[in-house]
Order: sequence, then structure tokens, then C-alpha cells
Amino acid sequence: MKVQQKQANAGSTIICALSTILIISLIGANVLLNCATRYNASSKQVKGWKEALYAAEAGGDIGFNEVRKICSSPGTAFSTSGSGSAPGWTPSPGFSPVPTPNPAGATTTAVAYSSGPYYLGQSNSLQTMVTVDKFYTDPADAQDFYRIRATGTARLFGIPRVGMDDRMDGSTRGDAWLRRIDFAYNRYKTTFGDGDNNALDPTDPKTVSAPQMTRRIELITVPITAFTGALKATGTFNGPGSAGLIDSYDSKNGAYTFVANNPASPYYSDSRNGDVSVGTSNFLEGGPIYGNLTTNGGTVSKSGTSISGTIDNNVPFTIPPLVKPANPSGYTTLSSGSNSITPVTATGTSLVPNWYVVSGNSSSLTVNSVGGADTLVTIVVNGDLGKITIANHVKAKIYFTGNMSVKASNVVNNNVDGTSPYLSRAGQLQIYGISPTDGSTQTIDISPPGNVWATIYAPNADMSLTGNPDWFGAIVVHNFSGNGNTGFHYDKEIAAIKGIAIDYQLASYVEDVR
Amino acid sequence: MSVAVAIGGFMLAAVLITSVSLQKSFNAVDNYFATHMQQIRIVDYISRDAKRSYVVTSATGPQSVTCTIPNYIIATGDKDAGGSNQWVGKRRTPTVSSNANGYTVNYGSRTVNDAATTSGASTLTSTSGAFTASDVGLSVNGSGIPTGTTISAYTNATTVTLSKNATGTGTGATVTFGAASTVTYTISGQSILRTENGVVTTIASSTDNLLPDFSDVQLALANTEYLNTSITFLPIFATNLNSTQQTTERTGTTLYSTAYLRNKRRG
Repeated sequence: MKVQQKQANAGSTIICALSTILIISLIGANVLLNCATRYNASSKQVKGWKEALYAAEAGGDIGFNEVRKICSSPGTAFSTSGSGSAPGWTPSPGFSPVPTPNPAGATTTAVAYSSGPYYLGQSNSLQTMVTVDKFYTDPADAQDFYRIRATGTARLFGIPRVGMDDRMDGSTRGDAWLRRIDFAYNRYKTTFGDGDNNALDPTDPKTVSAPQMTRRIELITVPITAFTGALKATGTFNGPGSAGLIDSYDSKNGAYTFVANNPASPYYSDSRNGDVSVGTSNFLEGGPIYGNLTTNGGTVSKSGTSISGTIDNNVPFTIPPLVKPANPSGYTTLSSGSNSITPVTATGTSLVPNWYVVSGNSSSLTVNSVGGADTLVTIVVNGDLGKITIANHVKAKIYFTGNMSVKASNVVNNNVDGTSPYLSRAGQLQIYGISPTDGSTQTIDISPPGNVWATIYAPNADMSLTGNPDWFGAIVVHNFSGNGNTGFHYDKEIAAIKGIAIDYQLASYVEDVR
Repeated sequence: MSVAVAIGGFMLAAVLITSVSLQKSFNAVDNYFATHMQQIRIVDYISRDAKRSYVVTSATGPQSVTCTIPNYIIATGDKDAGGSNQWVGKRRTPTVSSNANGYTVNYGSRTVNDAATTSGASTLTSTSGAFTASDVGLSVNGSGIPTGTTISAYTNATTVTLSKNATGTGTGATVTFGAASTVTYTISGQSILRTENGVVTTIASSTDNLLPDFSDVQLALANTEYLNTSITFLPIFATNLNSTQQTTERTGTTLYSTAYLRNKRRG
């Protein structure tokens, strides 16, 4: 009788096969688990981390755009009205005042606004909150500086799990250290509050409804000021007069003298910065230009011209229109015609100048100092601008909405070059041509005799110098022409005076990487 | 019986070999993915730091990147930490200075626009410097100043000695003193280290010959700079290949990144 053992063998085979499948499956499952986790990290978490920054930078752009409105459309800047995707701006709430601490000398005001959340991205999975505050005002020239803080949040899709850091040593965490995930709580709020030692909005929960990633950035905006060069024309340029010239000087050394052809002069290096910038290709040269020239598409070369510096025919630029400034409370209204002003209550400061508004055309405007002290005034002329006379120690900013047609001898600036604290005679008389809102062209005609010490910023004006006047200071206009013996002499001290803010630019970027 | 055992043994051997091969293959995939994750992490770290830097400097032999970053958060020991350190951990409010070239924003540091240096010499003078003995140790950043330079000695209110010789001669230079963090990326064996003000963090560590390559490009006319980063590794399944094949395999793993400085370059 035979003994059959086949069934036992068959069982062993099945066990072996199952064991093998189990082992391979375990290996495969482990690899799949790792791959799934790594795929989750590399696709979802990296995406979320980058998109959180995109959202934060979008918030920064929103804030920056609002800051720029301060110059271009002050009436609509930080408007509280809004809804839905454009929620408007909210003045600083009591529970989150202006950020502190501040360095010594900072003059933080209680001006702070917040806006958001704005939703963006796929299925509105991104959101941004932004705050803007005026963290500093320079008392010397009344320039304001704004701080924009934006928080970007990205919802984290995929598996709610940290990445694998098995390649790191025991004391460091790779992905979790870099791309921090808020699974249940907003880590910024729970750890750092608002980041400035201020209490949080008690109604704002610290928990999060879904896993998210958050990044925070801070941008600093600084003003772009009116006078960043010698002579700028956004349209055409035809000058100086065939018998005139364009050069430069530095008023800290005293009154202007022509030394551009005298290398032995100690002021020679200051004499060749009479730079001309033209926003189009339309450039015609009369007399010599001691400085650089830029055009936008011109064909100017050294050959056949008398330009001492470099020539670049590929420099486009634009200059924003100038809007009428908002009158502060307590200003004084003057009638049209002839006015003589002597501030009686105070000399004024850069931050709070004596402010006057002329209701119509101004045929003559005289500004006297307060007892011979430095006196600061701002005058807004709602019409044409005529004769101007300012006394020594008067610093005047004169805005006008109409045209200006005057003899050079009737623009009288009695300040003195090189006199501390205001070194520049031209910088003491700043003339601003407000851009016409109907698209028309403003005209500025300066005729002989005499010379002018002033700066002028009129981005929509056609300026004409005829005869023999010389202009000392800085000029920004649309079209410029000068004939005869007219000339222009740029005062390098204007670069320090700067003029009013005409726009803002970003000057600093930091990220809170905690 | 013998035939059956032989066949069975052969099948078991085949299964065993397959299992080992599969495991090696799975391990290679796992390793490849893991190293790729580290590539991404390195790029993300460096991009984050480069974007918020004042200056980025790369070096070869050995490869390294040094970022000079504004000191945004107030730390213990900072002059503005407050008498009882009440401001430690808070975000710092910047200061603004200006000259004819525009505005400069500083976080806890200060800038002068009249610095004078001589190439090869360690003396820096500045009429407006207002230096004090407590300035020793402050970082110095600016044109003609090597990266990592600090004030090593105080002479008087207008003169200090630098820890490194200046690389340029000039006057009227814009130089920033103090309160900037220095972040350095270096390679140590199979690890990539990030060192911020002396604190070392291992941000990647691999047996796959992870190899970063950095190059910073300065755009002097635009006052900016960008940092190119490419990172390669040699997958473990390619270690038995010849050098040409290994080069090809390594090239295939390249991860590129370009990060622009958001701040105006200083120095």
C-alpha cells in the first residue's frame, strides 16, 4: 500500500507563494507609501508654499497700488468703500494699532489701513490680507514713507501630513523647517500674535478650517520726487538757444559761473552735469550741452553735435501727470489778481506750511518772510500764473492750473545761493504746473529780459524760452524749446531738495521667515 | 521527486532573485524621489534667502553662497531690544536715509554716503560716520567691501578699521553698517549646510553625490543681481556605470533655479 503525501507538498507551495507575495507586497507598499508622501510634499506642499508667497506678493501689489494713488488720485486712495472681491480699506482698528516699536526719530502717525481678505487662485484657494501704514515722515522735506505688510495663505491640498525628512540628522528637520504647515492652528497668530506685541482681534480665531501654508512679507515704499534730473522733456526738445548753452553748477559753492571749459577750476567737475532727457526721438540741438543726453529712439550722435557727455538713444521714460493737491484745513483764500502775502501767524514748516489758494488768475504774487525768518508757503493758483516775487528766506511751492506767460525779470527770487540751511536759490522757488484734466496743453512762455532762479515741474506743459533769459535750477516739462541766447544751468543741489512726491516706488523687501 | 525539488528550488531562486531585484528597484525609486525632494528643498531655501538679500556672493572650490540679509526680527542683544528685552522677537521698523542717488532703507543698521576706502587697506573713513567703540563687530556692506567684513577696531568718530582689506578705492561710497544677517550655504561631505549667523542647519544630506552649482550674476547698471543654481545627483542605480554614462545620468537629474534680488544690490 502506497502512502500519498501530495497534499502536504501542495500546502507548502501555497505558503511559500503567499509568503513571497506578502514580502513583495510589503516592499511595494512601503515604497508606494514613501512615494505617495514624497509626491504629496513635492507637488502639493511645494506648490502651496510657493503660492502662499504669490498671494502675499499679490497683497503687496494691492497695497502698493493704493500707495501710488496718494499721488495720482488722492481722493480715492484708501477708500473705505468696497465689497466682494474688492473689499476696500479699513482704518486701523483699536486692537491692532500702528506697528511698534519704532526707531528714534520716526514720526509714526496713526495712519494705518488694512484690507482683505482677497481671494484668488484655483477655486479661491489663495487669500491675502494687507496693511499699509505711514511709518515715517521726513520732517525736512515732508516726504511720507509707507510700509506694506501682506500675508499670503494657500490652502494645502493633498494628504494632511508632513514630508519625509529621513535624510536629515536627528536634530534638524528639512521640509518641516522650511515649509511650515498650519494643520490646526495659525502658527503666526498663536506664536507671535500680530508680530508687534499688540493684542489680536478677539473675534479672529487662531484655528484654521483646513491645512494651510502662510507667508508674510513687508515692503517699504519711498517717494519718487519731481526733480531727479536736470532737464526732462517727455515730448520734444529744441534747445538751448543757438547762442546759449546748457551746463550745471552746485549752489553750495555760491553763485553760478561758467567753468565748463576750464578744467583748472575747482568747480569744473560740477559744471558738466547738465543732462538732458527726452522721452521721444525728437531732439534738436542749438548750443552746446555740457552733460549727457538720452532720447527714446533718436539718432543723435557725437558727430555734428556739441554734447560733452554720453549719448544714449534708447532710454524710454514717462512722467506721471500732476494732480491738484488737497487743501489742508485752515488754508487762506486769496482773490484773483495781485496779492502780497506776509504770513503773520507762523513761519510754517515743511510738514505744515502756510497754505494759500488764489481763486482765479494771478497777475502778481509777492511773498514776504516773517520777520526775516525762514518762511514756508504753499500757494495754489486756480488759473494763470503771472509775476512772482519771493523775499529772501522764503521757500515757496506754487501750483497753477492755467498757463504762465511772463518776462524772466518778473520771476524774482531774492534768495541767495550757498546760504545755509537752504543752499539752492532755485530750490526755494518751486513751480508746479497742474496737468489739465481736459487733455489740453498747458503753456509756459518765458520772455526777455532777465533770468530765472526756480525749479519747474509741469509734465503736460509746453515750455518756451525766447530771447536771452537763462534758467537756473531744474526743468521737467512736456515739450521744451529755447532760442536765441537762452540757456539752462542745472543746480546740482536740487538733487537733495528733490521736490514733491510724484509717485512711489518699492525700496525694500523682507520676508518674515519664522 | 528530484526533478520536482530541482524545479521547485529553481522557482524559489527565481522568486528570490526577483524579490531582491524588485527591492533594489523600489529602493532606487525611493532614493531617487527622496534626493529629488532634497534638490527642491535646497532650491527653495536659496531662493527664499536670495530674494530678500542685499548682496549675494557665490564662490567655487568649494562651492558656497553667501547672502547678506536685512535683520528684520529684533534679537536679544540688539541695541533696540529694549531694557528688558521687551522688543525681542518683534518685527523691526526700518529707518530711511537719502542722498542724491535716492533712498536707502535699513533694518537696525545705518548707512553713510561718504565712505572712503583704499584698495588693499583696511581703513575706512566717513565724515558722517559718528563711530563709537561699540560699533566694533558690526557687519560692513558696500561697494569695495568684501563680503563678511566687520568693523575690527575703532579709531575715532570718523575712522574705523575693517576686518578685511577693501577691494576698491573711492570716496563718497554708500556703506551700510551693522545688523545684517549673513547666511552661508556650504557643502560638507554629503551634506548641504545652511549657516545663519553661526547657527548651522543641515538642509540636505544624501548618499547620491548631491552637487549644487551656484553662480551670481551682477547687473551693475540695473543695480540688481540674480543667482543661478543648478543641482545634480547621481542616482544609486547608476553607480556601476562608466564615467561617461554616469555623467549622462547626472545631467538628467539637473534642477535649475534663478532667483532675483528683490532689494537694490548693495556692494
